[in-house]
Amino acid sequence: MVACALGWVVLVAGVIAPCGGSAMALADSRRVSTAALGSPPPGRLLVHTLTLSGVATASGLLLAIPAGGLLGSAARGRPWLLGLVLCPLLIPPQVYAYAWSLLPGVGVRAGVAGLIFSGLITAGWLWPAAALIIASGWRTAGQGAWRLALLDTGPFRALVSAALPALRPHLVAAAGTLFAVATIEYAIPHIMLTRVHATELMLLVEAGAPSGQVARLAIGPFLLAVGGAAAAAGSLREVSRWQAVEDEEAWAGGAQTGRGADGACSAGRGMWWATAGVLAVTVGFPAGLMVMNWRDPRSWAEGFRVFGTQWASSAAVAAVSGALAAAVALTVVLWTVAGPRGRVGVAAGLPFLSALTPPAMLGVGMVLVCNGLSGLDRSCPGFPGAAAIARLFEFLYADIPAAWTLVLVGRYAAVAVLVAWLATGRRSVAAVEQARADGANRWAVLTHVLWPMHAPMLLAGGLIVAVLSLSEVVATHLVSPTGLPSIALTVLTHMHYGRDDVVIATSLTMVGGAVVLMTACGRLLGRGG
Amino acid sequence: MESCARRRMSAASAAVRLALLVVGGCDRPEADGLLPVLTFGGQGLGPGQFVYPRAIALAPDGCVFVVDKTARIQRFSGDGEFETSWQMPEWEAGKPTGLFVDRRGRVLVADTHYHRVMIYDRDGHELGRFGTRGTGPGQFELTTDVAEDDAGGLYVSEYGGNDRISRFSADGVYMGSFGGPGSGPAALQRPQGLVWDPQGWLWVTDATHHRVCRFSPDGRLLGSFGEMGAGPGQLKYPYGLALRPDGTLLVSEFGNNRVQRFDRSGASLGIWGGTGREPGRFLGPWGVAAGPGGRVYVLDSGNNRVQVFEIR
Repeated sequence: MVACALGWVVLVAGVIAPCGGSAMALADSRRVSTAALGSPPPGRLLVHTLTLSGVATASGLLLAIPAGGLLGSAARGRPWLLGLVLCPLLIPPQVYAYAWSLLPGVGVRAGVAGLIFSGLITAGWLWPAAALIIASGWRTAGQGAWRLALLDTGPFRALVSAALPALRPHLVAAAGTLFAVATIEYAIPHIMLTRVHATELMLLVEAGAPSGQVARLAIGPFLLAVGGAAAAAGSLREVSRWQAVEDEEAWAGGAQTGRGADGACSAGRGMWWATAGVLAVTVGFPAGLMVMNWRDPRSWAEGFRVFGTQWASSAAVAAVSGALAAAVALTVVLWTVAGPRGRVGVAAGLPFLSALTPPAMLGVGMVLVCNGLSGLDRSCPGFPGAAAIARLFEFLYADIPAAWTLVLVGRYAAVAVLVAWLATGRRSVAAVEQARADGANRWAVLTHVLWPMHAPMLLAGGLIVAVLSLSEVVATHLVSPTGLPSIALTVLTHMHYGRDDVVIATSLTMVGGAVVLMTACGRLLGRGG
Repeated sequence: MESCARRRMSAASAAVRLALLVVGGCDRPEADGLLPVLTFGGQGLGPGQFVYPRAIALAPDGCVFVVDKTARIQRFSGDGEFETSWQMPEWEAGKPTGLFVDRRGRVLVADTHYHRVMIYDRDGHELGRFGTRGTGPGQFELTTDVAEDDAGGLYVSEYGGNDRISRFSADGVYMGSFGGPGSGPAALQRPQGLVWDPQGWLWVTDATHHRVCRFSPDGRLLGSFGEMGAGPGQLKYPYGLALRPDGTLLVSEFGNNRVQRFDRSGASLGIWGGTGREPGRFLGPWGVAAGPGGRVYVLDSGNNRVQVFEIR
């Protein structure tokens, strides 16, 4: 089908191509001295990365538990709550780092203090992802255990002694997810001047080091991220086997768990207050720091005037990235309900491969592929159509932001796939089978069954990818064409130089935008699946 | 990494460019098609190569000094031949963004993230340093540039909250500050470049206000020109500043990817550059320096090179 074909084209161009390029880079055995960069030795660099990721994981879990319990109890009756909890994820991580760097007497720190601080800031950005995973566990196991324990003890002890043990698989999954993302995150350690794999990779790239040298350094964080993701997937896989039975029973009974439940009674006032506190600390406090340092209110309009070109080009690229990511997610949905199981695994797994690749390496991989194809007429003059292919790829890479858009899809399509995947359950399969039994053809199944059922989730996934794309800096720096600036990259450049009204105004705009968009997304996510 | 192949314009790409200009804008202001007579540098860690250079200064003997994001200060001949280099003693917290060579040939480095000015001889031997972090008299936040007046007194610009110019006597005695954050006409926000005018003024690029200011030695604002924009006479994040022997000013605009020439009254005399990687175009030029024989050295930071032009 057309939708499938588009999804596969995007998978090949946006996921397989940069990953393939990254793998090809390993064949380059050249190496240059990096003494001038002052890079830490490999062992110490690994310790730095593990420290930052470990702190982010541990503190992110702690931050996520109250919100996870709250979402698990009340979200389906309150989609706005889902959006509000998720909005910290869509605020660019560099905004967090910049805001915290404005804290008097703190600034940016090198050394161990900087690593810990960076880890805490990363946790403040990523905790909603853990909250979502914990929420699904709370709904199925944690809430019941907690309520039973409440008969004998207080809420806090019930949480610690009963609910959390019941949530162990989901806590492991949440920890694995946080660890994987924190390991490859660049913007926060970059602004906080901490030296981890992500920052050293970009230093190598900026210094013009051979692609093979960059690729060899990227192997470590890639394996760490894959390990974290594998732990998360394995943990969730176990849970999903018995959770599917619950879904079937709920579907057969015509009821949905949690709908209309009274959030205050289900979750406890403590969870509401704790969630509010977490949001206040992780979003409100940094926003407040920026507001306190914002001296000239006119700079808000000036920010759009100064960065107008950047906003326009970034928004256009982000919108297309979101749409393409939704196409990929639709492909996964279609294969899930209609295709053989093996092919589902491939289609759905590929975006996660590129999502876990350090973004600097993803960018390098895409550059290698594009450069190779744009130079085909010189490297393989006898190849049929070499000149036309070379001209085409040079156009796609250097003249329009096609490569930039595709690498963003490679970075974030996994998010759209995950959102769509969560919505695709046995109900979808049953609905398709029912429609086919009634004589519907493929087009009718797509337009009258699958699309109405999954459109909100696909739209939400695409919207989330679009907003994430807006704030991406690493792959954008490597792949965006000259003359098409990115708002996130431009603002990141200016963030190094202390208090700046226009930077603060632009950052606050991004914060506000994330809150508004995620409130809308929450409604879509609440309606879908 | 391999560099990009040269762009070729086709009818299809021209149409798409037009569409992109309409939709998102392509940052390519109109500019004279001036081509460099010499280019040196290039991306890399080796001698003579740069990793995002951010400051350039010319010595009285015509040597060129450049500092980049590896905290290396490299010395070149006026024709771009690499001569020597040395590295800052500390750079973990950040790298310098300002360079100046005084009339004695000393290299003064605005060591931005260490809140100080370092002084070297032309071979990189440290001769001294001054400055500590703070907001008090004689203290610095983020130093950006240094200039010297006719009496040997020094001016040091800084921002990160202080956003001011501090004046020191030839003996290093603090004599006062001017500028500062705020909303008045003399308030500065990220003073990035300084140059002393033999007529007794100090020119300052007030980067985030998108203008160039002229101050008296004691800090009175005598005038300013420029406003945010991409047209002639307008500026967008002016960083580098140079004064030519004929009294005209050169301003490198980080935001417009170009160099603009002004007379002392602020009238625009010409623009060259524009966004790009080709010879004659720039990516985020941080600095500009005026050399002998009409030579203009433009620090083309995003392209990791110095382009040398001859302007009569």
